[in-house]
Amino acid sequence: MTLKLALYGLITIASTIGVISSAFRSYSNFYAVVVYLSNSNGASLILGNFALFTGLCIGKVIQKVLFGELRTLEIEHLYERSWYGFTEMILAMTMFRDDFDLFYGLMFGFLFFVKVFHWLCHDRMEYMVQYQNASRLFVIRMSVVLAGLLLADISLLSVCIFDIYINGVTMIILFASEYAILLADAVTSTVRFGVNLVDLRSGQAWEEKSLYLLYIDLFSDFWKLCIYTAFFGVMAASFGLPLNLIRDLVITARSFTMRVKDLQRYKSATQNMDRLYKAATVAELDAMSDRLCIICRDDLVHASQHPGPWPSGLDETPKKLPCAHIFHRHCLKSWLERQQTCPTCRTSVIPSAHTETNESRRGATREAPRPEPRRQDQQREAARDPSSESRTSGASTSATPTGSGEASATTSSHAGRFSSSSTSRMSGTSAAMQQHPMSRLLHIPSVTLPIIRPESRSLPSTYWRDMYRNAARATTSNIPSIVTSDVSTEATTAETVPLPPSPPASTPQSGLSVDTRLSSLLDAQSNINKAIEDLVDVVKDTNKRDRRSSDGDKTATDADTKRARID
Amino acid sequence: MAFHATATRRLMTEYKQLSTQSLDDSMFTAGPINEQNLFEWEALIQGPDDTPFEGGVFAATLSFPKDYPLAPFKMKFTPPIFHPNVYEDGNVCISILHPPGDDPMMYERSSERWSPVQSVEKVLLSVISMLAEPNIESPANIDCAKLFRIDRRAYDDKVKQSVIDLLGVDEADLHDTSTADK
Repeated sequence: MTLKLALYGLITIASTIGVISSAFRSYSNFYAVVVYLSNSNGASLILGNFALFTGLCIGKVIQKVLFGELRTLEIEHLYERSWYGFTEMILAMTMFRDDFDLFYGLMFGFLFFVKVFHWLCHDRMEYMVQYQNASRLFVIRMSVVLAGLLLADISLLSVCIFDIYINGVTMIILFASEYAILLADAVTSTVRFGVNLVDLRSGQAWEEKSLYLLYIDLFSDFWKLCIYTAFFGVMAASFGLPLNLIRDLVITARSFTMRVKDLQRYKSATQNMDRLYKAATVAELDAMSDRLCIICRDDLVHASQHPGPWPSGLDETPKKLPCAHIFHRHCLKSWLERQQTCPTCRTSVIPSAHTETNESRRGATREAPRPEPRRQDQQREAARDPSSESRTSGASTSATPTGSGEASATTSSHAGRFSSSSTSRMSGTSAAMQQHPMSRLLHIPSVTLPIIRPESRSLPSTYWRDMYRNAARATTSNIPSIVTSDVSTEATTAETVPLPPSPPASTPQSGLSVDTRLSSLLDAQSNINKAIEDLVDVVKDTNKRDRRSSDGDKTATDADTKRARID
Repeated sequence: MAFHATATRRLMTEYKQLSTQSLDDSMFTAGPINEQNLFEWEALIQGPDDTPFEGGVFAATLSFPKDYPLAPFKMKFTPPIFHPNVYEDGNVCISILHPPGDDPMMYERSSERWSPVQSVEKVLLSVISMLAEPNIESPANIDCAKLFRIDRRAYDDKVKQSVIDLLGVDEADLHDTSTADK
């Protein structure tokens, strides 16, 4: 790398010296030389290259002094962002009809130069957080960098705005917006730096920090969004739709709305933590197979057994969620900042949202028992979990108390959830059993035949068998009631409680001839058969015997009724 | 940094737990590359028996985020392995390593995704079982998944060859050592 740079530098310097000396040889006075150098394309190209090299060298020196050695990640990011930044700038410039002259060239170069340091600064912030580095050298370097960046951004932004004020909207507005964004970045970085510094120097954990950081990001996004919108508006008004900006605008807007939502959810989940989630009692802690917080894998200790402040400085009160899983308060809080669900079983922890989802789930089952396959998957998963655990523990003897206890906790929670959801499923499917169209056709009142949908095939097979039995019993017991006598109708309805009296249309008093009744009966018979075929499709494997016997019953009773009619 | 302190403690706990286990019959080992930095780990995974990966030892780097265990770590095979669920650059695509939250594509259920309940050990075990049973419904390496689906034998051969190449021995040597072991 350095060798390449040295080679490049050598070539650049040599070519520059060559051009200048040849110019001095051909022209007598200094003025003529300058005119030649600025007019000749080749000469300006070489001089531009020289300027680039100088910029590179200055950048390198600043980097060495203020950043030290760059990490591989930083270099990678630098290349990546350079590409993006460069192409986006070039794209943006196509919007303008100004000449791209020396002034803009310099502005462009300088903007790029400043941007690179913003990116580096951003990466250094991450580094600071990740490696807990707040050494004196690092702090001094970062302070200088941040101050320099802020100064550069502010002064250049004001220069740009002044220029717009004097000359109206030109390409300079592009630079103005870029510097405004960079200023937002620099301010955010500075505040973040301050927050991190306070956090690291205090030596104690700072619980409210994540909230502050969230606010900082929110503010930064808001600022950026404003700048983008303003710039977008100005551009659209004076030049046309700035296509290159749409991406940035959308990304920033989305990130902003996400952050607002996050903040809302965060607030709702964490603000009332003490009210919503009770502290676990000693008995509850004792009942746990392993007294570990699943998030940090540290022991859970009841406040009464631990007098004085918590050693880590964080609030380690064990807190119990509505689903009975227990975590450290601060661990739980940091998780709830991201996900408002229980880490172990993923039930929602926000009470209102919890009941809401239950409601919606029930609604969904009423419409069509759709979540069934998922539940079965879950059950299978739960069944597989312990097996995989045992298999692996057999292989690796990794069944430490934590591992196995955790696994059992997970599976039991799975099972617990399954049972609760299965009750809701039952109630849901009973609602799904609407009156089958066939029952109307047959004038069999309110025989609750299930409407078969492909999704519901995964119901327990016994469920279908029972359904089918009931339906078959109801139909077979009803058919004689249609044709025999009123007395038997009364009898059957009394026998099968949910059946209201059969409608008068098909009773013998209707005065139809024997033939029409017989044909309608046969029609009904074929309909029943069809419906039964449907059912049988679903439960083919489980109840062949049932089918045979009930079919036999039916044909027997049918034969009886036919004979009775003919008589 | 609250996150960081939690992450360090948790990683330390996991590391301790993994290193105190007996390593003889374990199918993997994992630990920080450098104990100064607990956020970069290296893992060695044994190819599961009765699969084309049998006999292979695969190295992977695990990079932990600063807010671990709230966010999942990243796993990358170095060098990359030929598997339907491993990208060509070596990154592992497995649902439990995907950040929590709703998948915009509604492809994975949130119950399959990362949660602090997961750990290095569990993820590595999942990866081992993934080696044995690729999930070709959401492949990371399309060509590999296609081969797996269409021509299992060719897939097996290719994987075996890649394992042999990886170990840097030729087949004859491999046979020799295996017979010598017996």
